[in-house]
Amino acid sequence: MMSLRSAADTEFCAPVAKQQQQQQRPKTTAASTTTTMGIYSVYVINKAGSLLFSGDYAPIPSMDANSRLRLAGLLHGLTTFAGKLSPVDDQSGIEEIEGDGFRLERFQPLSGMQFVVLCDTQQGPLKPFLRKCHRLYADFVLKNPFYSIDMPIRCELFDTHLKAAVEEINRS
Amino acid sequence: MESRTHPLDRALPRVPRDISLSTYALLFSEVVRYTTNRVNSVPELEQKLAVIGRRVGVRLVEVMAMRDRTSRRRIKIHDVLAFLQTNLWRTLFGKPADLLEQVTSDVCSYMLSDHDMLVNKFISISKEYGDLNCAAFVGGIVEAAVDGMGFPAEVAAHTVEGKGTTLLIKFDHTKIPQEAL
Repeated sequence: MMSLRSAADTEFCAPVAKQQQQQQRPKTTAASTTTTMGIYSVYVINKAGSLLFSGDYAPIPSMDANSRLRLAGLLHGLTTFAGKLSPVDDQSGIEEIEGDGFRLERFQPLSGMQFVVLCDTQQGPLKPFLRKCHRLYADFVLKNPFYSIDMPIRCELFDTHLKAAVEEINRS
Repeated sequence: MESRTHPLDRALPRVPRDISLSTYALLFSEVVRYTTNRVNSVPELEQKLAVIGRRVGVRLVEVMAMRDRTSRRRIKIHDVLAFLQTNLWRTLFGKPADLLEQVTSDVCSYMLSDHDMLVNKFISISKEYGDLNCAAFVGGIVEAAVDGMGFPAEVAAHTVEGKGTTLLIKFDHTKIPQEAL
């Protein structure tokens, strides 16, 4: 497992970057430091590094589609790089990135799909949640005859079930 | 090596075991995908699914008649509908259908609803498919089943807000004797 912690991380995950929030909307920053928000966003990236799904579940500054695609590709590149860096035979790549204001957890099942979640620093481990995302993907996306593989995910049932799963975590 | 009996060698009266939902869903998904690639319109797609369903229904009603120990013939329309709601649904989905209603204006039209249709469990219909409902397949099964019991009908699957999937069963007025109603 890799844990990165540096000021530069805030740049990587722009939606929850503290400095940016302070500049843009100081009021929301004050609110987010007092109350925990749990999960900010969920990303699903395929094994080639293209973004298939992204969803925001907290009032965070939104990001345009192109930036999301770019960040997903970048994360994919970084995680391949991290896997290569590892002195032992470990291809799991980045599993967690921690910044001052957020944490990123990543889960990659054997199929090579990547499930990424952004949450606040107080949030407990989200591995079980990511496994659940994988299960929802296997059920409501792959068993949907109108979905073609490696295309952006637009499945209503996947959206609603994922939203329910996120809300369950954010409530507790 | 473990010896396995072929499904065709097994005795008919034996009640089949449960099968994996995932496998079933993937197979059904593939059936829909295959059919989608071979049609030009949504009504045509529903029609093709119904044809595939009919092939299942014909066999199903026969095997259910063989397994039925009472060997009773259902000659009233309400018996047939009750058979659909409980026996057929339990054989197919492991639970009875949620709701059976008569269309108020017509003694030969009935609605069979299920909140959580098994075949639609994992399927999201995108906008370009309009009001497609893949339960047209189940509609086909029902159509063949009632036909096999001597009550020919037309069955259409609809998505109804609050009721899930509704099968509209329209029996053929001309072929149903007055005594059966």
